[in-house]
Amino acid sequence: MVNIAAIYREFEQDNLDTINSLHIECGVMRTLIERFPGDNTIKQWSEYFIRLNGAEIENLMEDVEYDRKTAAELERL
Amino acid sequence: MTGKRQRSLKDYNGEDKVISSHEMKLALDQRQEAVIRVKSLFPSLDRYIEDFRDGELIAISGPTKMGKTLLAQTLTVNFAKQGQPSLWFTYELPARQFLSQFPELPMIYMPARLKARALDWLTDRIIESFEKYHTRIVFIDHLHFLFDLSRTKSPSLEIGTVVRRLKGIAVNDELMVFLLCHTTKGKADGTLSYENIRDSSFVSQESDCVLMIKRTPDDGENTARARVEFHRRTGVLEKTVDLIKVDGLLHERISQERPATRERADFQ
Repeated sequence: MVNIAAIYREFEQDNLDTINSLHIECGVMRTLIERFPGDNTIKQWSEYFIRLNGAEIENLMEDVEYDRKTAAELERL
Repeated sequence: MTGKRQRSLKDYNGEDKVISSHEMKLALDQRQEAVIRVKSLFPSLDRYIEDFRDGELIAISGPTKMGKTLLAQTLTVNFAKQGQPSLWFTYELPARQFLSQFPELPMIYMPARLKARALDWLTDRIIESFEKYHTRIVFIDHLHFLFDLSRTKSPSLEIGTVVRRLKGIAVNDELMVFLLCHTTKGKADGTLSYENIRDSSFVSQESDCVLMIKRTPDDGENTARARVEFHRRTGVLEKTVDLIKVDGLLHERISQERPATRERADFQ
């Protein structure tokens, strides 16, 4: 029988991994801004992607909370 | 100085070779003056210290429960607004309490588990965070967790070693290190200065800037005063900034008094 709680735990882990990779991407963007201090285009695009990743991380945080809650409820059944 | 060793060093060409002032200047001209510059977003403080820059060790000090951590957290949020996230070593507060004190969760980084009294471990985590997330700002709360006070015969020398190493990290890796440290009770009249930093004068000797903070209940609820004890780069001495806590973070409180009067006010 398929363990649905385990599937939610996997979703949770996937989302945690994605949050981490988005943070690493933000680090790459910050490196780019530093490496090209005079390039306004790179700066603006990098800052845009950092903001975008920040918003995505916020969404994923909510998803992780939902996955955790759902998995815990299914495990209680 | 004669012999084999002299002959071998004549052709030495390592990264640390001795060069002339002219070569050094030309090498420096190719580098940026500062890799990062961030503002505190307290207008007076930014005017006094002309922003925080990499390579600097900044000590934040003051008596217990007087707002050191709050000031550091406010700076963290203000730096994050400028696109510079910080790496935090929050030894004093549990992670849950530390994060809950931010009105909104900022983009910051911290070790999943902390190790006290482990300077090598701390150095590794700083480098790890830089390599993974490109963090150039480090907060350590607080200094006394970095060594074992009970096993130390001479805390002052131990602190000197720790602080000098942190300063070395800041300079060599182009980072900005904020070090929180306690003070003694101060003089009988209640005044405080960097000379009151607990256990060691090395903290102020090695720091580029010492910021003292103290609550000022006489000025109103949730008020505090920060004082720049000294700032090596700008030469600023004993400048005060009035602060107020609003919505969980500190903001500069604009005084009605003339600035000249305010600078003379005792830091009590």
